[in-house]
Amino acid sequence: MTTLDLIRMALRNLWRTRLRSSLTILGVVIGIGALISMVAFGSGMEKNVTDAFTTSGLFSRITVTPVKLDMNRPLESLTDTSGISVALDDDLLDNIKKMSGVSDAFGEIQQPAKVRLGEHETTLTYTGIDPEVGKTKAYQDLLAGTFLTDDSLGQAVISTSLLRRLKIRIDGEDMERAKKKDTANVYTYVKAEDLIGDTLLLSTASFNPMQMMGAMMGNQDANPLSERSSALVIVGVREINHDGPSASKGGDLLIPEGFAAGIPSIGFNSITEFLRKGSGGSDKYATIQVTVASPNDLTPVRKELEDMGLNVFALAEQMKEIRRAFLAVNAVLGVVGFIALIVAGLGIINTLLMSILERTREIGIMKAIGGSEGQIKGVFFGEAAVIGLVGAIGGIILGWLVTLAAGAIINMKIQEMGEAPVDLFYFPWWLILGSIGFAIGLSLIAGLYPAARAARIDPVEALRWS
Amino acid sequence: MSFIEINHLQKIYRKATVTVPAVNDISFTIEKGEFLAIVGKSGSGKSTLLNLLGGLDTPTSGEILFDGANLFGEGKDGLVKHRRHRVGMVFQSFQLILGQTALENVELALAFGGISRSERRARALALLEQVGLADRADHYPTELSGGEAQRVAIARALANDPDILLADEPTGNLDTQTGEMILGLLQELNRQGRTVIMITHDPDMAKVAQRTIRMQDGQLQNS
Repeated sequence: MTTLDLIRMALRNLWRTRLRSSLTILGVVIGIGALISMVAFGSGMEKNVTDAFTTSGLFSRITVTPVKLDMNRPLESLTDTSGISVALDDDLLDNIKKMSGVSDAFGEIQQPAKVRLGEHETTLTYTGIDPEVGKTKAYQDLLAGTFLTDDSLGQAVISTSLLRRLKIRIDGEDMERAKKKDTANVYTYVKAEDLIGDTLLLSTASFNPMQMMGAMMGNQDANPLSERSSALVIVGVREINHDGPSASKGGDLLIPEGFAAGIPSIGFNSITEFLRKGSGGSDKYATIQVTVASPNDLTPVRKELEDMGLNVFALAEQMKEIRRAFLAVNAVLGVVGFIALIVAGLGIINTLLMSILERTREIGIMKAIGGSEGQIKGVFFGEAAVIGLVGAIGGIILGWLVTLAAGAIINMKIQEMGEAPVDLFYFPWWLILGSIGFAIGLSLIAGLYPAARAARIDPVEALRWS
Repeated sequence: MSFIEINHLQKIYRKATVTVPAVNDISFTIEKGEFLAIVGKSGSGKSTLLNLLGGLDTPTSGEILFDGANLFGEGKDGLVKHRRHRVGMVFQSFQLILGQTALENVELALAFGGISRSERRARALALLEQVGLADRADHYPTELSGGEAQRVAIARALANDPDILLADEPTGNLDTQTGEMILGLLQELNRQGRTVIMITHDPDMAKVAQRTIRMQDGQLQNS
């Protein structure tokens, strides 16, 4: 009796009671299908999130920001900068660039401003950035045009999300659908290329402390805030989805750092900066982006920056938390599928016990003509294994079809909302192999008791059946 | 030393409050190549004796020696080997597996005996030919007449070339003419050198045997 013999016999016996066998197998199919589609959904979500982070190049990035205002500190100590932090200025930037493990660092100036393009205007926080940064991956994905090319010119790279606020939509593949939904004709539809070379008007407010004093003294003409406009030429358009990781503050409008430094501005973003300004330690940059040479450098560099008294944020470290969260999500989804499989396992036990009852005489015959207990166990294990294998293959197909259908329906809704379709489900190889192994394993466990019971049947008793 | 020695064999069935001694202290010997008939009424214990000889059942006490070795001395494995290689059993109700063809029924016994797949088919066909049923090989038991079914059962009993054939009322479900044909087949197999032990309640059938022993209430009757 070889394994092949057992499998052939199992197929034969299952075929003899095909209705019952197929119902039992269907139980396994549904169990595996549920498990697979659940875990594929969890894996798909995790993959979408991690892929988005990995391709954005943000994993090797550390963002340095000034220390936030601590409301618990006594008010008078707020102006005392010694204990708070180092100012984010060019000296600090040079020091960071010299640190080991740091491949590059650049500062970002961020200021609030008003922008106008055509008839519409909106307010935002613009970012003054070194045009060299365009070489890094995070800024290479442009819909049209180029990145900033000259540090001293009034150039601008704008985002689709800014354009949307300016009532302009980029002509893309989903435009026809978007146009149909836009019944009030709110938006103007243009091609990204056509925006290159257009002029954007940036209005900023500047602050004059002397005028402030005058205003406080009661001088009606004194206005501490004065407004000035700068013209910017659009050189590039990049896509920003608000849910994406690149939708950080200030990313909607990028202008050269050198040019930004020349724009008169209010000079501070927050009350801490304002208070600190009076005491001399001024932040030139709103943030300093540090790129590490390799992911291994991330932790030591981060530690060193923290020791310098800086406020540090690294996405890669947040990723650990995100992964842990997904592990929990996958476990919960897996448990739901697992319960379906347990029910299927009970179905297998039931079917095999029924089969043994019906085939008691047959088992007696097998013993009488030389079948050992092991061989008789093998016959029933064979049946359990075939149920498991066929059920697993069917379950994978079912799970795949379910995710295909669910994915199509969900993506239809997503596209109706004007967003790009996503792959919601992901089938890693370990899920496919694991579920086949799991189904067969479960079936064999389910077959343990029935097989042992079959092997114990007394042939003399069994042969009396007829 | 005799081929088969039965020493003080006893099998007691305990059912609830009563104990039934189905085989009660039996001792006798069987020689190699013998055709032995065991005759007795229903309930005389003759089937229990045959099941013990076939290794399907274990005794309460006593022993059966085949070539001097106790059948029950090696536990379950010994009994499996005995059923697989030393004895072939034929039953009154044929005991064929209904879901398998005549050929497959014979092949199953060969499979248990460890014969390779490639060899099985040829040997099973040869065995069916030996009992004159080569043309019925692909028929299912329900499509066979009683005589044909019993001949398939005999072919299966011969699958692993046993020295001993144990037949429990082999003609009990057959008409007289077919029964005689089956008896003729058993005689033929006996002439080829196999020891045949046959149970029957019909004294006429027992006449083909070289020796007849009678059983009553689990014990031998001298005749």
